[in-house]
Amino acid sequence: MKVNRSTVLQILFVVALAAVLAGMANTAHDNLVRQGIATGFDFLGDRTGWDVSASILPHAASDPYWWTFVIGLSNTIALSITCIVLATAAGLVLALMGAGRSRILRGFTQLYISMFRNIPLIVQVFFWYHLTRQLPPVRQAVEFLGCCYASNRGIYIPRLGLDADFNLEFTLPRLQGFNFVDGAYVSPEFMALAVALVAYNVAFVAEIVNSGIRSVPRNQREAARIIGLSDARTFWQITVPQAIRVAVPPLINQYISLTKSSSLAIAIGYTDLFSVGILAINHTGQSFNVVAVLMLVYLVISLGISALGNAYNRSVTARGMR
Amino acid sequence: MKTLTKKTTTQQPALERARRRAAALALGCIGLIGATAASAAPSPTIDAIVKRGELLCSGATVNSHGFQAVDARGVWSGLDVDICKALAISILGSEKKMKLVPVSFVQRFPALQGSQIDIIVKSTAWNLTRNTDLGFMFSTPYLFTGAAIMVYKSLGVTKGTDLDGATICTSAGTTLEKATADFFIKHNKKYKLLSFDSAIERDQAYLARRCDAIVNAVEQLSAVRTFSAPNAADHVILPDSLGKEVQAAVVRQGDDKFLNVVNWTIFALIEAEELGITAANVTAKKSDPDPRVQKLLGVLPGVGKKLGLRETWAYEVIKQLGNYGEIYSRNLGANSALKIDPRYNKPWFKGGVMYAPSFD
Repeated sequence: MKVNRSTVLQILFVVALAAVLAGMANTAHDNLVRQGIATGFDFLGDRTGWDVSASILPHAASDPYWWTFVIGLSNTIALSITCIVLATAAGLVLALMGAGRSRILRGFTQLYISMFRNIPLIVQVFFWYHLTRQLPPVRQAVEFLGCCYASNRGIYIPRLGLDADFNLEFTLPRLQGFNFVDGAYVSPEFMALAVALVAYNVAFVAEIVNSGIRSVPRNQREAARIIGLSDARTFWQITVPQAIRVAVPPLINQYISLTKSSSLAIAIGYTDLFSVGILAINHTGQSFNVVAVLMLVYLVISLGISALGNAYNRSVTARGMR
Repeated sequence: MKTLTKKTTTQQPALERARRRAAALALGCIGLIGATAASAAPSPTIDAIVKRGELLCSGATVNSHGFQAVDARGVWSGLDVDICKALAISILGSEKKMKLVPVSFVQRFPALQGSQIDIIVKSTAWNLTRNTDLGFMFSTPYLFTGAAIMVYKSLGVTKGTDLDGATICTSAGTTLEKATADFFIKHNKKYKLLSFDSAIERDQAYLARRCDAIVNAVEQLSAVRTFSAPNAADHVILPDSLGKEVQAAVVRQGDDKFLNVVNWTIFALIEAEELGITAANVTAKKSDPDPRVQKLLGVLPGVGKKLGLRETWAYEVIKQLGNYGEIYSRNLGANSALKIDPRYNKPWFKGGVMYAPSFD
């Protein structure tokens, strides 16, 4: 059997790399033990003793660390999905406005993109968060639409859900004690983050979709016109299907980037995965292990989005040329 | 295959034993070298401080009035800053040889573990987890306080248990989060916690009534009321105690000599207050006939040699900063804007718990 020299070199390289990494991990572990710093993953089963701000899942100070990580993850996912959906929808609208014939709309699109794309995201997060502070305190909440309330503690809206016996129930928010009870509630931290992430990412999504549309050769449109297709049909049946193929891969990257940047949540007290991690580091001191958990989970999320996106990309590619 | 595994398992203990013996031998050698080196070199931390000519202390990214706050000229002051200065004087002879490395509350522990700073003096409460799992040693406490709740007077709340269902603002990753949880669990009341990494965001959230109440050490609540609120009289600190906050300096484990210097620097401040030695009278006190005074100020030698410092280190600390009572008064007490009653932080014979061991 003839062994390729480059294969051997590659194997050697991988083995050497693995050895270096293992050596580093070992040294780190030894140093931690010498400094008397706790290591290992046992802390995941320990009671945290502290509570998180808000979650769709039940939570209490008596929860173990692993459950608190799950709560952080659920908040990250809730925020990311909301933002991906809204940013995509708004980005498409903005891209269509930019591709249209109206000069005013095109100008607006350009202005929007250059403005929101060029201000650091963290600055935008703080801007929107401080704007929510301008709302009145909860006891002077503004009522709107006859059912909803806005205060600097969030937006309170009616809730359609299941009660303890799994019967459908409809509840309206009402002020009781220190807060509104019943109904559903969106915290100002979530709102500020969602608005900031959407506003920022819309600019990128619009640019990506725009470049997709521009990538379709002009003669395709001319050919469509020659065979008598209307402008609308040309756009939806000739331009869009080809534009999607160009736009989907960078869009996936944008979604991954959005999800990763949701970790800015810690700046304004929204308990996402990253802020749970930072709190856990501070309370347990096990920075290596906590960071390992964070890296693994973010990696899985990013690869998951990537896999979904690629699957979609394959399905649209299959319909056209391959 | 079977024999092979058997062989390795029987071989392993022997190998392990040999490895351990070698390791023990090596450790013994290092220990011997270490022992001879110890008399010449006081401690790795002090060596590093002397070599760079500067003590790296935990600074702040935002003002915490009374503890770490910066004025219009860019000068930092506060109780925590003064403790850092005292240590810089003990080791290097001048309060100017101290650098405050800006770290947030969340960053302070990794910064100490990673040797970016020599010591944490930053409103840090001593507790079991930090002492054991984080690999730290705590100095003798330099402030005894307690966590408390502050609310707007207009809320009509008079005690902590009235706050059923309230939203509470506090600092992320601190003992306060746990103290708050414990209080509401103990009284079986509901609450919503909102934790902030940034002290400014936390205080502003409370002042804007994003939260109904704010939990912090009593001194820090006073500072929020005095410095951040438009009208201090609008706020009331509730009588409930949410647990003890014993604030101490934090160092890495394994450097006993450095910890000794930190401890005895703090003790010197306490001892000076007990003996009535102040910044103003310290030079005159050198001729005081009381041997306790003479020992502390280095007139009778001992305090320097035993710690590997100059004999006059305590004299210089008191000369430049004053005693503990003066430091407290200037930053938190009667001579500060906060006007907080020292309570437990008075000397033992005045009803407080400040008590220093003998300087013999």
